Amino acid sequence: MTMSASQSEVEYLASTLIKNEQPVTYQSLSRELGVHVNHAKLVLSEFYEKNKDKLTASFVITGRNSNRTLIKLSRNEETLENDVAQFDRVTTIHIYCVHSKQVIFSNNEIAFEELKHPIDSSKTEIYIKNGLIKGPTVKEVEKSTLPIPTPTKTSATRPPASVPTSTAAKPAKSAGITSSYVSRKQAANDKKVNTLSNYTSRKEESKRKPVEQASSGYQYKSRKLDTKTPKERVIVSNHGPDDDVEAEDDFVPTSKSASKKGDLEKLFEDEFSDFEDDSVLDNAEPIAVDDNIVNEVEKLEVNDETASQTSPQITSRQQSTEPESLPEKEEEEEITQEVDEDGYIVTSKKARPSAKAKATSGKKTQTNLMSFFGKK
Amino acid sequence: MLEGKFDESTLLKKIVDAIKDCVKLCNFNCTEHGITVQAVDDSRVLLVSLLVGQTAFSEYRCDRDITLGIDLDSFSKIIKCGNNEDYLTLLAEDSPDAVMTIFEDKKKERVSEYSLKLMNIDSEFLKIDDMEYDTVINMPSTEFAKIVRDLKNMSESLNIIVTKDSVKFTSEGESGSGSVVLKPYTDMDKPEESVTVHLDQPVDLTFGLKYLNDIIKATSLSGTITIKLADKTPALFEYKLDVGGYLRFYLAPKFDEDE
Repeated sequence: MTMSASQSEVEYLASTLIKNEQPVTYQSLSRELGVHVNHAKLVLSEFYEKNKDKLTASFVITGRNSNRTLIKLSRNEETLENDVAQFDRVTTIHIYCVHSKQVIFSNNEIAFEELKHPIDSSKTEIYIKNGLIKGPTVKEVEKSTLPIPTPTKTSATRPPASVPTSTAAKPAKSAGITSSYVSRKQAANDKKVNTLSNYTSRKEESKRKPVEQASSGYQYKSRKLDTKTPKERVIVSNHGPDDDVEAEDDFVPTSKSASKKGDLEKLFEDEFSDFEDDSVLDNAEPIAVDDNIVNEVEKLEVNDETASQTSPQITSRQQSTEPESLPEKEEEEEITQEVDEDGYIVTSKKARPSAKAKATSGKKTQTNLMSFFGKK
Repeated sequence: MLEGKFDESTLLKKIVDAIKDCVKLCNFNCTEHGITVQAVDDSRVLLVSLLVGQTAFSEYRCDRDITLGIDLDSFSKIIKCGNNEDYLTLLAEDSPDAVMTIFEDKKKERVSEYSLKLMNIDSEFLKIDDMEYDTVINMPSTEFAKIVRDLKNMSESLNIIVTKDSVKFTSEGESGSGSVVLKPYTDMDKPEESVTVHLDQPVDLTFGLKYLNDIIKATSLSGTITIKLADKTPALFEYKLDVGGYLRFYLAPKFDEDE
């Protein structure tokens, strides 16, 4: 018999069996050293043969006894021959356990000890490699078979689900929208990201532009200080000419109206007459009698009508002076035109040429776009 | 086939509201680049020029140029049927007799559609050349709207005088007068609040406040307004659309009677 045990195997057996006096089964040997059970049996039997003086062994006998398969554990080498004799035909005899002769274990104790070692299902590959009999690989078959029915089931369930959607699409034409508008909310949502980004980017552009323009153009000054003065100036400038006008008016229009002998002028004469007539009469009656009489008659008429009339006439005169004076400054021709039309209250207020200065709002006519843009 | 989809119905709502008071009927000209409108009010004083660029739509398709003759009053009523945040889609065939307006709720499963019959509108298309303007004013649209609203109470006309350092809006009426003076200024934090004046030549122009009041109805379309003025020339009031496009008003000025 060739020596099939390696150095490490022999050392392990020697230490456990002889030194520690512990039993070693072929299974524990296989587990400890990670070798195949058949090899473990060989190693164990070899070691037993060489150390028969110190060790005793138990054996497993398989064979047939009166047409039935029999497996028998022989307790030790002494009972082996008797046990073998019970078999009609012995198939195999192999070593089961070896232990020191000085300690005696019952088979039950050994077998019970064997059960103690943990079985790790994740190490099945190692067990198989060491001699565990592997059954037919049922799992893979089950896996491959199971998934197949499930998809068929789901595919069976899907069509009914898809049918409603298709039916839902059909009514969209009839019961739904006549314009065959198809909602693209989802697609729109995807696109929305793009459009939104475009949108914001454009906003930024539009924001930038004013900044550039602003920076290129004007610089901000504290407006509160600046604005007050020009605003006031503008107002003052408006009033300025008017005030001047009033000052100038006093003699210019009166001289002209005097030449025309308007009612207004008569009023002046009346006023004069109040103070001067007496003196005139006293000083030079014969010269001015006729005129004075006429004037007095007119004066009486005026006084009879209303004393109050004089006041509106005065105010109208004041108003009339304003517009008339402006044209005077600009163009004298305009003044003369006014004077011609002198229905004294009305014309004085609505003096035409003064439109630029005073009536910028009212006196303009709306132009037509057609005079600017040609037809295509 | 026209199909234009707005991400939000508010844009079209604002546009229609901005022009429906001065123009009742107008042609929407749809091309592959977007939708344009040119219309003149009945008195032919105010011209509306609208461009809604392709970029203003989340989806846009126009195979052939289409003209949609739209009654804006009816269209406005339809557009008001949609919620502000709804999708709005315009649909029209190649030679349409109606235009479909479709609203779709963004969350709920609600789709509403309205069909508007189209009209044959004879409108003379005016040719507007690019002009050189004497003055260009940029200012917040809300501020301009306030000036017009305030001064409208005083008289019928608004006088705009631009000199090198200020813009003066004046309105003089029977009961009194009012004026607003603006000076250029820059707001670094809020550029849209800035007022800029680009001046080549001083300008003194007068406009009818009735028309300006129509113009400022576009205020919600844009934060800023650009006013371009030149002597004896229609003024241009422009609201730029953030999403691409513009709404422009050309307003003929008022002249002195004897001129």
